[in-house]
Amino acid sequence: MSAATLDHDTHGEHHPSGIWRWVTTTNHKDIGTLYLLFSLLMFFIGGSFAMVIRAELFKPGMQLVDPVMFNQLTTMHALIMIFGAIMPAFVGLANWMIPIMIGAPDMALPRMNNWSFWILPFAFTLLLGTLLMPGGGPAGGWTMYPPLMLQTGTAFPFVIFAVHMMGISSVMGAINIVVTILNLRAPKMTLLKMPLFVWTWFITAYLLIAVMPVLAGAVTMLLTDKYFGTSFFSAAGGGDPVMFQHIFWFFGHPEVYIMILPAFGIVSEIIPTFARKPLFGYESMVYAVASIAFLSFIVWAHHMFTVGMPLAGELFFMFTTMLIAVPTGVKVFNWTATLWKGSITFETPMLFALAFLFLFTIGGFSGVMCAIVPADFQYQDSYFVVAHFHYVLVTGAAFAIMGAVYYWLPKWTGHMYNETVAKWHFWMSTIWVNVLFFPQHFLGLAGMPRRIPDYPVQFTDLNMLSSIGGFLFGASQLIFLYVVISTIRGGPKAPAKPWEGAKGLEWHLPSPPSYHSWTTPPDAEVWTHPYRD
Amino acid sequence: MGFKTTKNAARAAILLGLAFLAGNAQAMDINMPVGVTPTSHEVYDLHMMVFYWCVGIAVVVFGVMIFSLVMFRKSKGAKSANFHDSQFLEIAWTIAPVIILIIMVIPAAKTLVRMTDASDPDMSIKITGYQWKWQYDYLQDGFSFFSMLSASSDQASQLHSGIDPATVDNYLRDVDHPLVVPTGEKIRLLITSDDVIHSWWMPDFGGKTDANPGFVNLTWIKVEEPGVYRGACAELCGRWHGFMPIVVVAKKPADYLAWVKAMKAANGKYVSPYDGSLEDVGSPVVFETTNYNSMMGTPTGAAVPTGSKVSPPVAASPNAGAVGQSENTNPKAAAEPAAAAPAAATPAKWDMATAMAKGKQVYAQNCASCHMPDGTGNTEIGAPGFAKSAIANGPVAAHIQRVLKGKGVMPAWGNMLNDMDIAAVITFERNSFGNHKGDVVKPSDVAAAR
Amino acid sequence: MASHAHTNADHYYVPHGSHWPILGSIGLFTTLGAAALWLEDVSIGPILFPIGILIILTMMFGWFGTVIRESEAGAYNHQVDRSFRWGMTWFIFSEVMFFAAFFGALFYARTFALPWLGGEGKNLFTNLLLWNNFETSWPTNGPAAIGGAYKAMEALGIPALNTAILLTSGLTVTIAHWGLKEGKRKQLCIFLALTVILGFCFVALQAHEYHDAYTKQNLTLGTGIYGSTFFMLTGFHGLHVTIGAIMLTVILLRSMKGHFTPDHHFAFEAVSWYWHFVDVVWLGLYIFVYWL
Ligand code: HEA
Ligand code: HEA
Ligand code: CUA
Ligand SMILES: [Cu+2]
Repeated sequence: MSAATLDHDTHGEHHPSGIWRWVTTTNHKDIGTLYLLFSLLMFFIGGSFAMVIRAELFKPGMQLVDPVMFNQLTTMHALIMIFGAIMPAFVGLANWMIPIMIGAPDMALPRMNNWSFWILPFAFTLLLGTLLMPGGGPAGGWTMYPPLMLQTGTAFPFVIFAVHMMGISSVMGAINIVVTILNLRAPKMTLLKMPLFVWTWFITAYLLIAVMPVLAGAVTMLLTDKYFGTSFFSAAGGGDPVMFQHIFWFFGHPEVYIMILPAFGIVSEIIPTFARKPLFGYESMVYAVASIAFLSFIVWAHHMFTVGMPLAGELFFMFTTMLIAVPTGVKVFNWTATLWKGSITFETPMLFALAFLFLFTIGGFSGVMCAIVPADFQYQDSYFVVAHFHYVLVTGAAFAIMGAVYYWLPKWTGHMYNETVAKWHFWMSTIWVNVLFFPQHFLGLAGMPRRIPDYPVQFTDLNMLSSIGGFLFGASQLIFLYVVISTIRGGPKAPAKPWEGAKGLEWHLPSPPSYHSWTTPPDAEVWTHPYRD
Repeated sequence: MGFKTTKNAARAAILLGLAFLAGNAQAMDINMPVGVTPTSHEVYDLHMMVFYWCVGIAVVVFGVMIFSLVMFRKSKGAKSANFHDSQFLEIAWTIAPVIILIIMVIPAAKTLVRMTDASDPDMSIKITGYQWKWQYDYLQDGFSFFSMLSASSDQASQLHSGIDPATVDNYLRDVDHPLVVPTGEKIRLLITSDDVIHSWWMPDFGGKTDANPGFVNLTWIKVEEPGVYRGACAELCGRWHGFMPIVVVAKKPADYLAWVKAMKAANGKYVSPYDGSLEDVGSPVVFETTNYNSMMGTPTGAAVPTGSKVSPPVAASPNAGAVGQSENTNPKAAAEPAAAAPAAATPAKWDMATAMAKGKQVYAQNCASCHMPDGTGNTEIGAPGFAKSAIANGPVAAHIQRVLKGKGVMPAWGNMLNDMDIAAVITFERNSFGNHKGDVVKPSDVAAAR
Repeated sequence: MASHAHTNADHYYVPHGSHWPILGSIGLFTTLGAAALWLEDVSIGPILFPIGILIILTMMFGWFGTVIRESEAGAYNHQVDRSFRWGMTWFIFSEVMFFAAFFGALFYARTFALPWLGGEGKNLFTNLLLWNNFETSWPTNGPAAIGGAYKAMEALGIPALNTAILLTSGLTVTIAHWGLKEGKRKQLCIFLALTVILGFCFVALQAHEYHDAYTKQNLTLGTGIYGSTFFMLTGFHGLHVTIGAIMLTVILLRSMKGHFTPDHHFAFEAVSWYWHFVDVVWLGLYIFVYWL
């Protein structure tokens, strides 16, 4: 592969300043920063919706919001967190780190990179705007099942088009990442020498390119069913409402792995660093991610065990779904083996990675329980499922992202964050997130359905507990906000390599790196295999 | 660093918690109910089996993790080794989970096969979900009735109702007309919906089945002990999704037959399964015209195994094919649910008084929840008020269409209410809340507009 | 801007600040927002819509213009070229997946939904209680005969002709490519022109087909699942053909202006790939929508 050094027009280094710089930038670091800040904002918006949800559920009876408003909050909470917080956060990390980690000058298609980001603020304006419309925003759940979704008021087409825009953004972002990885790696960096974060994103990008268009197709059919008289989802015309669920989950399940694979990558970067020991089983880690990605395409109907599929279908999807536990297990075991006989220290990034290790696994277990079809007839659409996916999404995806932020913040800002405050953030989050979500397992088992604004009195205690955990977990995120902002604004100077055990190319650049990362590609001597000596 | 010890403590706590719950869960009502059907027992056992496996694995995996975190700390002077691969281990920890999963999946598959076989029932009941009530249809006995949230729960659950739910008995788990079933018989449930997707969830019967509009899902129950069982709709179905509970009263076969007899005798009224009192509430018991005994299975057990296609009562439409169903196929004829099928005996004389009286009732039952009892509407959810509204004061045809077909958040009532109800409620809306159109809508007008 | 750019075999060109993307976002926002307002019949919708489209077109002209100028100025080395190729490849793949959703709907309806409505498998009562005069068949507009009696499409006639047209156009564009590779500008332009003509013929014929469907056959988007799948699949395909034909036209004009060299003509190849993709999708359509 030919070397990739930078070429830009002569008045290159002084870029436009002020807001215009951020609007027109084609620089992977600027765009990465934009993505990350955007996702932080969205995390807080989606989170405040969740706070209202928890407040309404604090005790039985309707206190705060009308049921329809409650359903809107639930729907928006999910859409914002998934498409606004988690995914953009990962893309932001990819933008910042991938070029640096593979020795590239920038992303392969810088202009398109800018567009991928700048679609998002408009898409979410469209989405959040619906809350102010007559009839309010979407209230059919993030899964948008017809016929209910078709009862949405004025908001309907705006939501659909917002989803289309998010899709366009993700696909362009994903293509950019794939191309960068395929085409801009430093000489001699073969695929099997790439850092795992790059690997996981490489595979995630493929998932995105494959399923985002399918979601676009699904919502397009919703649109035509509502406005153009098509009958995709109505039996009277020969269609089937369940057909939407199949198409949606063909997107939806890979989507949930889109939200966890990069997290796997992050954890695989952090653990070796603070265990001061090469990652155990690099190759099998890569193959595990690949097989998870493959399996994710043939398990979708495990979200639909109760819709009345033929027996053969139920059995098939039960088997395939349970299989996913195997490659995921391989990853968990390899991480554990990396800790074994290491020389471990507990800086904040490591703490988050370790919390991930324990809590994601718990979420995985409840997932496997859900895969047992007969048992899922009980779990389905109950709070047990809510508990399951928050363990994998919050203590999984979100925790990994927070770990990544602490891990790379010195590199990005050139300042060290305040370790003490950061540890407070960690412990507050970890304790309260369990208070928040663990009781929800029991609520679900005891018979509390999801997506309800009010419940029978026997569920009161556990809901109160969960809500208290929720408020405190939410409040803890204000500490996170504080650490991030204060580190951006100042703090002790960070060395190029703030973590003793860190390997990989990003640590060969100063903190913060110059505006253009690798103006000349690092030659093979500069870097060694990220997980070998 | 004292952090890690705290951490281990936290972990230990969780694991202990898990183990503890496994034991006392039942008592504390935080575990899956064992239930009262063969299915629910099997499901419970599966649930506990998988749960224990997960706890077991957790103990091992977390054990190793915690051990390393304790032993291999730099602060304790641990020097890091440098090994990073092991063929053997990789294979081992790929195989092990596979074996465990196989052990889990075999009983699961067996149970699944058993619970999906709804053939050879002793009787069948058709369950139809509506926004936001259930309709129970005793096909052989030819009567059906609606079942919705009890009035007391309904009042208490209004926003800022000021009523303490704790004072309402069975808050949100009580209905006006419970489903009544015999114990010890295999009852096949034919579950469908008339608008959006609902899901009939009865934890004590071991699970839920989705009610999909346009399709009939099969499941079966065999209740072992007499009693009152409570569940709820489990699929988001709009505004009052959290407020459409399910109550089933299981009676000994003899008592059940007595109840059925009483129902048939009570012409149009609902016989309370609790005290036998007659209730004349909003949604009257409707008498079915169709009778499918041959297929519904009877105590004499003349049932067709599902899957075998018996020729339907009505001859198949002749002109299927390249030209599709032609106009002589009447969509409604097929789509009409039990409730609307018989034009529910329109009273002999249909005048303003009758229409208004009936309309008031229908309105309270179906419309008030969104348009508000006083007809002022609720802009927050896009339900307009009636006072000088364009529809309620405009041409009657448009008004009928809107009620039949719905729009946006307004459901299409065409399939939920019969011609009489719709005619009545429209008349009511046009002559109440400050409107005085004075026109009386006739059921025939509605029928024509369908 | 691009004027500064200078060819350098081992320099990866990283453009500087560009205002086209943000314009694109504004255009997309305006267009889709307007479309939504239109659907909810808010009067400004139809007015805003063309404005949005206009903004997007401006963006495209500007953006592609810049890229073309940079390309002609030789700013792109082979590595940049490779980036473009990978980019186009995966973009086309995403398009394939978009169509997959609609093909999926077609297959699902035909192999599952309709037989079930007809009472197959455990759906005896679906047929008995809800649709008891319905017999599974294809094509169909469902048990409630949504949209009323209609006449289905024939595989022969226009569709067959269109198949021939697209396949030939696939050939002509390839011949044009050979011409380009061998530096035969004339051959390039002639066969490219032929391809463009064939492309627009296809669109015209499909328009005619649609017109008949709506006026003579009472076959519309509202004709149950058959009408839905037929028009959504062929419609989106037709849209892609139109876009492809427009892109071909641009390439044709550029070829006539003397753009592209035998070893450096990514734009041409991108468009021809796209054209072949549209071609392949059509084959799928012809077999599963018109024929079987
Ligand atoms: C990051 C997101 C994420 C991840 C990673 C997962 C991971 C998994 N999920 Fe989850 N899931 C969701 C997000 C996610 N899920 C969401 C959002 C929903 C709800 C959607 C909605 O309805 O709104 C959902 C719902 C959901 C359902 C449907 C529940 C229902 O609605 O009825 C099911 C059913 O099978 C399921 C299964 C699984 C399984 C088997 C895994 C597996 O990948 C887990 C594998 C991991 C482990 C098993 C732990 C580690 C392994 C070992 C230590 C090895 C040994 C273990 C064994 C042998 C058991 N998930
Ligand atoms: C990645 C995705 C993600 C994330 C991060 C979260 C985070 C949280 N979720 Fe999320 N949730 C989903 C994805 C996610 N969720 C999905 C997919 C659903 C299903 C939706 C559906 O059914 O359609 C769902 C549904 C869901 C429900 C069920 C709603 C219902 O069924 O009706 C609940 C209820 O407790 C809940 C709670 C929470 C809470 C408390 C958090 C917390 O972690 C949030 C913490 C963050 C903050 C609180 C913001 C930061 C702090 C502030 C804003 C300061 C102000 C706050 C205080 C001072 C207290 N979520
Ligand atoms: Cu009916 Cu939820
Ligand atoms: Cu899934």
